[in-house]
Amino acid sequence: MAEFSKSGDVLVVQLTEPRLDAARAPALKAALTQNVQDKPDRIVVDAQGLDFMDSTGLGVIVSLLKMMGANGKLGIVCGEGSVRKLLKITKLDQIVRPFGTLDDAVSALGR
Amino acid sequence: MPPVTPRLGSPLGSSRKPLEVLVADDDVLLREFISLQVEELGCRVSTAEDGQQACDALDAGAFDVLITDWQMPGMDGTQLIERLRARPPSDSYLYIILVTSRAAERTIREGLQAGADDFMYKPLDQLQLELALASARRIVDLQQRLSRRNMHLSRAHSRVRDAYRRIRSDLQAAAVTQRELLPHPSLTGAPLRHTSIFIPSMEISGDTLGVDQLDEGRWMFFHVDVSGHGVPAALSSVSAHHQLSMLRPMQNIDLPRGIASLNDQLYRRPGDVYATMICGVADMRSGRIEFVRAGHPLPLVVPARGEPHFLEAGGPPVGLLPQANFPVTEVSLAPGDRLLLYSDGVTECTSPEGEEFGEDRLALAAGDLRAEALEAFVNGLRARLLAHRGSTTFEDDVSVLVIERA
Repeated sequence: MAEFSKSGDVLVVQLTEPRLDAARAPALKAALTQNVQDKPDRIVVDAQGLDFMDSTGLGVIVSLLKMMGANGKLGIVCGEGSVRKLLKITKLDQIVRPFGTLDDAVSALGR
Repeated sequence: MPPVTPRLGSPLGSSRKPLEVLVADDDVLLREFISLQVEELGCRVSTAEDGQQACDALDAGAFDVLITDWQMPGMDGTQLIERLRARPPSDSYLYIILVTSRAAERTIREGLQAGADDFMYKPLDQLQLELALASARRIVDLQQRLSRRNMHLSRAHSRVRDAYRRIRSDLQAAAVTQRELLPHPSLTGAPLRHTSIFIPSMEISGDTLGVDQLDEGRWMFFHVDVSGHGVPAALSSVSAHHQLSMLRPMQNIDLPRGIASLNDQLYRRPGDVYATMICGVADMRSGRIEFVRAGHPLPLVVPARGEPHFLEAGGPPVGLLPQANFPVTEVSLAPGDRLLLYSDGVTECTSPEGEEFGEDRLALAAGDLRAEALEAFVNGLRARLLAHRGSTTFEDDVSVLVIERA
């Protein structure tokens, strides 16, 4: 479902499945709850392998904001496909910043 | 003291219920010999002098095993077995042992064909009886275990079926109630006409929509899609429907404030439930519409003349972020123009090949159909969506609200 690693002070959550929908969202939510416990300030979700995300999946990604510190910054690596489009339509691209590559995301969010 | 070796099938080897054995033989000596031996093996024995008596005994009582001679006056052993096997199947299995001579190969084949389970050969001895009854015991026990398991499964299945029927009936009742919340289409009225498509992916939907007249020339309208689907989403959508309807009595509806208040309420609720929505007020005297788009799919303006186009302004979904702002968008409709609101179940509806319906197809369909009257316009949209889907069932709730300035 997801792999967790650190790049400097940024927590990287790599999504490992091509779909994030109502059927898969609870498992991701559980993995996030278990692995994101120390209120990190910087998280990048690597969603480059994600082909489809529905509203439930989006809800889980945004729920990361509630798990972060008060000044937490959340980024997502998602190319130009449907995930970025969904973020744009929902105006969440202002809160969950989209990036083209993981390096860009980590260097933009890292301190 | 030497160890006691229990006989196969004797009560010494088992605390189970003794086998009920029927011995059918016209030869009194053989019948008595078999009965005695079988009794010594811990079984309960009854006897019959011929095939008919055996049938009568089997009709009257429950037996586990029949030991029958082949040669008997009237009905012989093979005919008796054929008749017994032709009876309707029951829960208990009758294990049948045919007694014959070892040389009678044809009889043995006929007996097997008729349904005998085992054979004993004359001259009979105790070992043959012990072996045959031990096999019978195993088969009878296995059959009883299977029968008990089937009974449990059957009861469990019945409970599951009852629960499913009850849940389905509840959901159907809930679906009727939910549909009663939806506005009746107004297809020929003036100055505002409206109609909708509403297809839940399950019985009930996380989508809802409303159109309420505020005064002579103004209407409030909303279209909501709660994240997820099924019962939790439907309950939240009914709650959102109620809260949006509560905005109506306000003299001048403050849309950003109303939606922000809804956002705060939903954000404070446990879980990850949120909603996308469009809520607006349409003044049909001037054609001016003000609305808030909160994360909802981009509304499509379908002019009576000109190409359909999407309106991109808006704010985030309701219930995801604390203290979010919801800007107001304005649009003017000329007579005959339409505003089309839809849930993501429409644009994300996939064909059998996995291709999404998408915004482009929606805009194309709306453009192709714009000259049609409102009812035909919406029916045409529905038909295009169903044709793309290739099915009448959808993975997500599908809903569309179309408002037309007459």
